[in-house]
Parts: sequence; structure tokens; C-alpha cells
Amino acid sequence: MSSSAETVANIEGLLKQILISVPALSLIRFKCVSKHWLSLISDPDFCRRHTLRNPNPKISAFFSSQTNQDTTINFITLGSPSGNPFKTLANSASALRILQSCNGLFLCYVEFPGEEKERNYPSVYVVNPTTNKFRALSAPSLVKKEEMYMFVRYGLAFDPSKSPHYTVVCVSHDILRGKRHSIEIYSSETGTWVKRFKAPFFPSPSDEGRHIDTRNMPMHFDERSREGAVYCNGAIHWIRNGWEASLPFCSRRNGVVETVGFERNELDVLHYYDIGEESLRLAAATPPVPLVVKNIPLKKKHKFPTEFPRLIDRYFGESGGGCLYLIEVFEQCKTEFEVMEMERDYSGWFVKYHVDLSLVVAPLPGQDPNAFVVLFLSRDVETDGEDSSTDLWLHMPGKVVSYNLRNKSFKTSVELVNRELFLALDDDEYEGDNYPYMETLACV
Amino acid sequence: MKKISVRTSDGQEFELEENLAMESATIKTSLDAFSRDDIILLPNVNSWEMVKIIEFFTKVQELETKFGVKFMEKKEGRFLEAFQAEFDKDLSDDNLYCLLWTVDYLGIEVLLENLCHLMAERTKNKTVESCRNLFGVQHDYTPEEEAEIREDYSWAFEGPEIEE
Repeated sequence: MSSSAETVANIEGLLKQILISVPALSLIRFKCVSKHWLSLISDPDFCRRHTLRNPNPKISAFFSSQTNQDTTINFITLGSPSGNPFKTLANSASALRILQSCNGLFLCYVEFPGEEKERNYPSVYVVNPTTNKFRALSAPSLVKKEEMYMFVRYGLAFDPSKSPHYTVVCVSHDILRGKRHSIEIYSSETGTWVKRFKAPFFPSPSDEGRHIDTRNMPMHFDERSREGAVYCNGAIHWIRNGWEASLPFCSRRNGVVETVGFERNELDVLHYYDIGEESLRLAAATPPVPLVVKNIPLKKKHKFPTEFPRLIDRYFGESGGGCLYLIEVFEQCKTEFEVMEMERDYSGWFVKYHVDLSLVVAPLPGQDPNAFVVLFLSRDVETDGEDSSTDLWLHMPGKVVSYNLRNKSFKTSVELVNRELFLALDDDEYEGDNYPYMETLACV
Repeated sequence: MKKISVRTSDGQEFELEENLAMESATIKTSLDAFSRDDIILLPNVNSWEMVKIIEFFTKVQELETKFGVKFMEKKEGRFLEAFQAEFDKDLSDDNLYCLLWTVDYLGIEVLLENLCHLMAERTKNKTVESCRNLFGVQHDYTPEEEAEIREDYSWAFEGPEIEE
């Protein structure tokens, strides 16, 4: 070795080269090794490079949208970490709500903020629970206008395989006036909102000729769509709230032929913002009618259904590999449901798998098949194509199980420390979810 | 193929094939400066390390033939796994660390990258104390300072701190 300065530089370089391949969870612990290691691991440049180098960390836990009395967020861990990384924000008098989880970063808002003016349009935060860091996004300009009736939706786009930076999209419109959406984009690189453009409302052909008071506006992007978005394949997606997406019973006569049955409500569409194309789009094809609903028997006379479908849960997410999935659980038969996937070109949903949970729980004695919550759908990205296997991750009281949909077999079962823990989702009041968590050093 | 002679710190001599020797930036620099017939002295390299490095190149050629992939040109997943498995055995943490330094000194980029990766695998489950020992890092926190960090990230320390 030559001069000591060179040696020091070499040590630094070599150390960085080693640590960049060490998973984030270990690096958090290694902040305790020495002050030098702390500064190295906390350095934003190192963090960005680490994020790019480790773009697909495994899901290690799930956060529930439920909050406890003490406003901490409930969580389910798949083993490690065993502690809950999500601390509430500085003003912890208010409950933190997760809007979206995206590759380790979380888009959140404070549910009951103290300040009056914040109440209608709470500002959003981007949180990285791994590093205990968060960024409060300044309000987009349209929100500052203090309009009484604003529709607002936010979505987070973070793809560590492409960039260590993230963007947040804000779509809004004034409910009382205006015929267009305003779209603003926040970039973590610049730290500012940029007004992109205005997007026209989506036309509603079925409203042709209808009186303004009876218009349904089925394609309109508004409150009927969920607050929480899903990022997938360079676009941010919003589906309708479960309670909006009913299945009406229709009886149609087309000349001689009479079709009778449940149909999807035409408003059950998908809206998405394509980041690359910078456009707000509509995937109008509604999902197919589930088997459970089709099988609802009709009364012999009158051809009227014996009962109406009651949707209990609607799970919408992205399975690794860039596919959107939709799973609906109906009260009629909770243990049978379909896993639907959206075509890559957004032409429609198709049923990928039928699941019969009574088969899944057969090997688990004493397990009530009705007590479950869908956590995640994961695709083994390595083996794509014909061999690709998709695993359905479920949470049942005291455990987490993964079920391979292709082989219809159990893969793993994680016993939770708290055997009684069951994070069932709150029902009507708030359509929440269990959000996947993975460790990342990503900078907020 | 021309052979290049090198002598390690403990006096042992090795003959390397020219194209392999050129993978080392350090050796290459020496060769450019001096005649190729001279023996290159490597006072910072131990003979056991040289053996390992030669082993590496031999292994690469074997695996290249087996998988039909040019290792030096493209990172192939299964190839890397096979290589890592091969190098992982018989190398203690400390030896791995020494080898890393030597390979860094010799400037063999592609081997260095793999060894760093291997090192990362070995390190990730270590306790904070083991890390200090392995990397020869001085513990410069006061007990209060360290306690504060452990408190901030208490969730990461919950559960048993794993040790290989």
C-alpha cells in the first residue's frame, strides 16, 4: 500500500462496495458499528446507489390501515424484522393513514390534523419507515385555492429499478364547476409541484339524452374511486370503491331473446395516469361477473334472484412482474373467489385462477376458512413465462400462509407471535388494506 | 500463450497465462513498464491468495464451458450462484477479508465484485460487535450515543440478533 491517504480512500471504496450489497435491514443495525459507518450508511448518495442496486427487496411485513388507540399502525411480520418500523409522525396526536405502499415507500396523510385549513385537504407525506424519514409534501397549487368542493386523488410512483427518485401525482377537479381535471406532478428531485395540464372528463355514452339530474356519469373519475392508488408498470391506478361497484340484476329483452342475470355496473371502471405518456386514461371494460354471483339461484317463478350479492372485500394490487390483480370476496360464499388480472393493454379483466379456500385450509386443522384476509399476490419474477408461479398470500388468525395458485399447494406458513392476531379490515366506513412493506434505504 | 512469472511475498513463484495476468490492472501496469521476461514481484500478495486467484480463473473457464456463457462479459445468475458456492467453502471470514484486499490491490475488477458480494452475504447476519471485529473498526460511540441509535431503530434490533 502506498500513502496513507490512498489507503483510507481504498478502505472507503472497498467498504462501500461491500455494504452496497448488504440488505437494508442489516445496514440499519450497522449504523451502530461506528460513527464512520453511520455517516456512510446515512449518506444520501450511498442510499440512492443502494436503492438502485437492490430494487426488488422481498416483502417482509404488512401494515394495516387500521390504527390503534395509541395511533400506532398495526402490522404483521413475516419473521424479520420482528419490531414495527412505522412510527407516527411528529404531530402524533393525529392518526396516520396509509394511502398507498410502493416498493418500500408509503404515501400517507394525517387523518385529523389540528389546523383548520388542513382539514379539507390534508397534505400528504412520503414516508420511509426503514430509515425513519418522511417528507411532508407542500400542497399543490390547486389545493391552496380553498375551494369548498374539490375532488382530489393522490398517487405515488416509485420504481427503484429505474430511478432512486419518486413522483407523486395529484388529480383533481372542482365538483361544482369545470369540465376538466387538473393534474399536478411532484418530483422528489426538485421538491416542487409542476402543473401538468388539464384532462377532459371521460364521456358517458349511456347518459346521452338524459336529464342532467338523472345522469349516471359512469366513466367519471370522482369520489366513487378509491383513495388509495396502485402503481404498476409506469402508471398509477385507481379502481372504484367496493360499495359503489354493485352488481345489478338485469332483465333484458332483445326481440325474442330474454337475458336475465347479474351484470357489472358500468361505472366499475379503472382510471389510470400514465406517467411516461403524461395522460389520464380510462380502462372501461368492467370485470367479469364472478362465479359465486352467477351461481345465485333464481326463483322458479318470476326469474328473480333468491338473494343479492353482498361484496365483502375487494383486493386490488400489483403482483410482482407488473400485473394488476383484482380479487373480490362475496358473502354468499367467502371461500370461493376468482383472481382476475388486467390485460397489459388494459382491454379488460380476465379470470386467471379460481380459488377454493376450503381446499387451502384442509391441511390446517381447526382453521376456519371464512376468517381470512388477502395480503398479496406475488409472482416469481425469475421464472416468468410458462413456468411462472403465482403465490397467494393470506392472513388468518395468528398466521400468514402462502398458497401456490398453479399447483394448488401450500408453500409456507408463518406463525405470528401473537396467536390471536387477526387484522381483518374495517368494513364499510373506510376501505382499507394491508399494505406490503419491504426494507429500503430510499431517500425521501 | 506467453506466461508471466510472479513472485509472492513469501518467495513462491507462479506462472500465469498472459491473458489472465492482464486481468489484474496492477500486473498490467508493471508489464507495460518493464520487460515481460522479468519476474513481477508482488510483495502484498500471499501465496495462498495467489492460489485462490488462479483457482478463480480456472473455475471461470470451467463454468464458462459448462454454461456456455462469457463470464467476463455478462453477469449470469446461475453461473454466479455456482461460483459463489465454490468460493464460499474453505474461506474463513478473515481470509475472505484478506483476499478482498489483495484482489483490490491487484485490481481484478470482476473477481473483486464477486468477493464483495460474498462478503456482503457473510456480513448481513452478523451482530454489530462481530462487524467491528471483522472489519477492524474502532468502537467510537459513547454508551449513550449507541443507546440512542438502538432506540431510534429499536424495531430492527428486536428479536435475536442473528450470528452466523
